[in-house]
Amino acid sequence: MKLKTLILINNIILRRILARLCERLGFETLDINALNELTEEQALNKYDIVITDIIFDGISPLGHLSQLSKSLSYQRLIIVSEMELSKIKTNLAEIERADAYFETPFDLDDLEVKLKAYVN
Amino acid sequence: MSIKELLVLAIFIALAVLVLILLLMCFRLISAYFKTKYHKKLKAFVADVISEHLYGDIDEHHFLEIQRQMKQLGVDEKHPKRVELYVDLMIDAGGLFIGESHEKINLLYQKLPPYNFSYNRTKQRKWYNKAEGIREIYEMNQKQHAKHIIKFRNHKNIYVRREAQIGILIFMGWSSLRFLAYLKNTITLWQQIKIVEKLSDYYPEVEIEQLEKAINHPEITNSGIELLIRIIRKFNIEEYISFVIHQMQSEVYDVREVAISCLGSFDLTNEHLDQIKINFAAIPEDFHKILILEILSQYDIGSNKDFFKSQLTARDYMVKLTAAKHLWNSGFTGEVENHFSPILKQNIPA
Repeated sequence: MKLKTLILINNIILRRILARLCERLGFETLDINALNELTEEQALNKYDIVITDIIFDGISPLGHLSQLSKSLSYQRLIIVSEMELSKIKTNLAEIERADAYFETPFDLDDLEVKLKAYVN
Repeated sequence: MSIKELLVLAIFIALAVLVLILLLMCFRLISAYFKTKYHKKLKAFVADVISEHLYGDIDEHHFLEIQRQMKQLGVDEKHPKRVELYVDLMIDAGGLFIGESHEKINLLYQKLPPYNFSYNRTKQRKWYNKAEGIREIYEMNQKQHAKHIIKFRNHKNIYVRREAQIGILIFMGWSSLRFLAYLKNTITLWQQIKIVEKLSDYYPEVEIEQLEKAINHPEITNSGIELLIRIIRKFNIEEYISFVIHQMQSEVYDVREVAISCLGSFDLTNEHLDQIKINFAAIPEDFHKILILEILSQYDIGSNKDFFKSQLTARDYMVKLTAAKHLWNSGFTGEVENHFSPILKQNIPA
């Protein structure tokens, strides 16, 4: 079965690279700019993996994460961000529920290993 | 000309100016619109090229195809602003990753035109072009231009030589110390910190031989010594603590300051403490003597009791009092009393 993946990242270069990586691993991939660009149909889908940034225009990192968990159903969450984890001082409960937190610069091979582990 | 005509003329001129300003604003708005549109297009193009390079199937025609597309987009020598934008995007993309993918992006950058763009930038006259060009060369790891960068290490503009120094460090690692320690100009504190940070980021393994060479060179400058002291502290190189202790009695105020502040962050052995005690008298400034006493007080005062006692007869009264304070606080009250009571008796009439 193909794993369904949603990529929510504002930086188009990073987003395209991650989308390409997922496609090569054989995932069904959808990559968009931000949460509000999802169509209703896409929002109703169940996703296996969500890869998301936490910095978006007009919404706080925690606000984005809580909105994400309310409006979408997904199993695993991976956060890829330019913001350092140590700089987020507010409640980390949402972020700790994430499977992994990658802060740039990171090694793409680590992410690939992580994603490959989900296939089995 | 009557007043009426003058008034009409003034109104006419005012209107003309207003229309001109409006037109200019329109022009700026429209050009900004096209610029952002082009920026988005170029960004999407760079994203496609890099993702294809990292995770696609690449054949021989791939690079030719990319070059054709770049020509279509207008990224060539005739449009330096666009090339600048493209180079910035590539540097940003390279900065997102470490490891193999970072290397791959750098390789891609070398293979694509405009070739030698950064190199040519360093030959331009304006200092900011030079500095940017040097930065692009080291950010994208273009080793072929490393020798060219070395020429700029003593450049008269501070920003150019700063970038060149960082570039030398990134390309040559620890062996770059033989350049950095003998620069003609003083290295600012900020630049020293930057150099040490970059060194520990890129080359975390200590190469003692290179450090030894730099230290033993006869022409080493004062700011070079400061830099070496900071490096010894950052990497915690215990073999060279005695070098730092030796610099404590330097004639230059700044060097002394750095050496003493760095001594506080080491774990000193008894031999080091003995060396400090021997060199103590040669320190030119009393203020620095007090700092050294503070550092010594963090170690066992009992075994250094004689040294502290000898400082009770020091010339400067602050040194005297600091020594007395530490002796008193660690329980040697008798010694302090014995020393000071005759003086007190002399001064206070019975």
